[in-house]
Amino acid sequence: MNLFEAIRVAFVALRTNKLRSLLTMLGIIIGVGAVVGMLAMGTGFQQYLDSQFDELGVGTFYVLPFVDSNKADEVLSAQLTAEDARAIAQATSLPGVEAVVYEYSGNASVVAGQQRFSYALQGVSNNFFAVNNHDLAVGRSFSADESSGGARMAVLGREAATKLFGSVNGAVGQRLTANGVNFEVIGVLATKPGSIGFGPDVAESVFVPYQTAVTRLFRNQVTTKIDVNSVAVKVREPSQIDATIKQVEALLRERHRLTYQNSDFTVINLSTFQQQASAVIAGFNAFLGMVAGISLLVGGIGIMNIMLVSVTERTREIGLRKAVGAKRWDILLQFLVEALVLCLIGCFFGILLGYLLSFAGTLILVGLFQAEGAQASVTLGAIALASAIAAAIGLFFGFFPALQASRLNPIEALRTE
Amino acid sequence: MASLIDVRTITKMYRMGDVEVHALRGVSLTINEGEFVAIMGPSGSGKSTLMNILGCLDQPSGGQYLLDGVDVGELSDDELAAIRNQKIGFVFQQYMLLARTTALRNVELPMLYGNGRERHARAKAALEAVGMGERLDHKPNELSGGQQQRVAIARALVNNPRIILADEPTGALDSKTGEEIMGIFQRLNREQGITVILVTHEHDVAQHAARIISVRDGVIATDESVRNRTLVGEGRHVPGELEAATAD
Repeated sequence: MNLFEAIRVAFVALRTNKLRSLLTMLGIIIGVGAVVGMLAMGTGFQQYLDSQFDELGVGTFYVLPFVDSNKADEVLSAQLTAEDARAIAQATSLPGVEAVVYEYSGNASVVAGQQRFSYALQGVSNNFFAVNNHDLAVGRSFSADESSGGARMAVLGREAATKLFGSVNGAVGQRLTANGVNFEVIGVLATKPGSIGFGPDVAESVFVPYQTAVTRLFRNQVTTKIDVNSVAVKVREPSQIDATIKQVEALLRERHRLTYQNSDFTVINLSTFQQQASAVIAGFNAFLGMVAGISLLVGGIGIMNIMLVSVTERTREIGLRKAVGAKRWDILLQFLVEALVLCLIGCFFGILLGYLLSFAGTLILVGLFQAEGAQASVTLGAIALASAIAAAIGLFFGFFPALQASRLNPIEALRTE
Repeated sequence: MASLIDVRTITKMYRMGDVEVHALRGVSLTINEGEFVAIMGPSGSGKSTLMNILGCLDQPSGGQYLLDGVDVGELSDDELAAIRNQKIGFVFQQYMLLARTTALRNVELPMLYGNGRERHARAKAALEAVGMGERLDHKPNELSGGQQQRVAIARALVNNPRIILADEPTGALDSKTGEEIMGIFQRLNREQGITVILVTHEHDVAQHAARIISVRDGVIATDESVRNRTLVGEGRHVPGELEAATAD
């Protein structure tokens, strides 16, 4: 018997017992739906995190003025300055460095008209917005001269602008005071709230030139050893990041007159976080996949059960087929194909179910995981995986009943009532 | 010329628990191409066992069965299946048609497991040969018993077998319809030279054959040609023809 004929016979058999076929398929439908839905959610979450990390800039690491006691033999006090940052940027020994951004931030009470809020106030080097991919919704950011000259200009985060001035567009040109110092608003950022980032939420921040912040706002807080909260170093090639970190560490140790291995600063590489987050999501996916896989297994047992019933019911038919010349392989193929067709039809509807479930997955991601803009997506890979599993289940659980059918003695099979 | 069927002192022994059942205790017979033979015997006589062995559904425990010169006792299950497919057409008492399947599809069944060329045309021709050319698309539950048995005969015929093995083919039919079915077998035997082996316990039915072999207690009790053979349709009795068929 050829494959085409086996498939035709399988469809006839399944149509004969429509309700039974449907109920049997239900296990596969739910199992495949669960696998596809779960994978869609995992993929959506992964894509969301990747996009968040991409916004932070691939290949950026941060130097912070903290002492990691694991990395210092002696008791050291932290040291990191804007001078260090400029030295990193200008060092000819650091060919991998593309840009260096530094900032000093603190809380400030911000007043505009009748509105008074407490916001994170960030004094940033003028390349902060470009390097961190923070586009301006309206207006402009500081020029280099304005930045080094200590201009009293501010760029607002979106939420801050809305709360202080009622709208994003209305903010530019307005004035505000922060800790009693007057600023003119020259631009508002487009960045959405809730983005993963380093430091305070960008949308809820007020940005002023670094020089202005340390000389006018936080003069009492900065010291000669620490006058930045962080120095962000962007490398030209993400692959150079580890080598560049080592070079920057060496440079800073030299500047701080430290011996090898001691650090009075801390380097944080976000791509390590990204890898860790990816690993967590992968584990999460594997766990959900396993749970879904168990329901597929149960579905498979249902298939096996119904195939055994089918073989018993059709013993006479098998006897007849053998009498007219069916070989063992022909019978094996017939029942194997029947189980396979059952599973693959179930798989088809399961994929549709999974597609529906992915919408629920999007709601869960946005609602429960607070992943703004995340979208669960059914990938081709997930569909291929689900189909492969369904086919494997059909073959695995269909094999034993099919083997049993193929081994029936034709005389006894024909005699069965 | 060698006989189509050459059975040499075959035995068949079953083991049912601790008891050995000797269904056949040394049966020898030959059947030539073109014969019409009835095998008779009461239940438990070994008649069914003999039929199963002749039909290559079973193999003897001892002795030799040469079918068309091939020693069937040496063959594997799949080789037996191939022989059944090519050389033997089965007709059963209960018709054994696939339900919810058209007459045409039913007749095509043996061709799924062998030569499948021109399946459709050959199945149609076989159905026409048994007078069912007008009911190709009828399903078994839309056909009378006699019509179903005709479809079953068409299925037995479709691979041009050397032998048709009919196990109580009229057992489920009224006598008039049974006569018609026997007429078909006689016509196939006469016109196409197909060897027909008929298994029955009814004497009236066996009278349609040219030779009756009766089995009792696992051995052949009698083996003789039929006098006053019942011929269906033509209503003529030609003694010379019968003697030619049973002489050697």
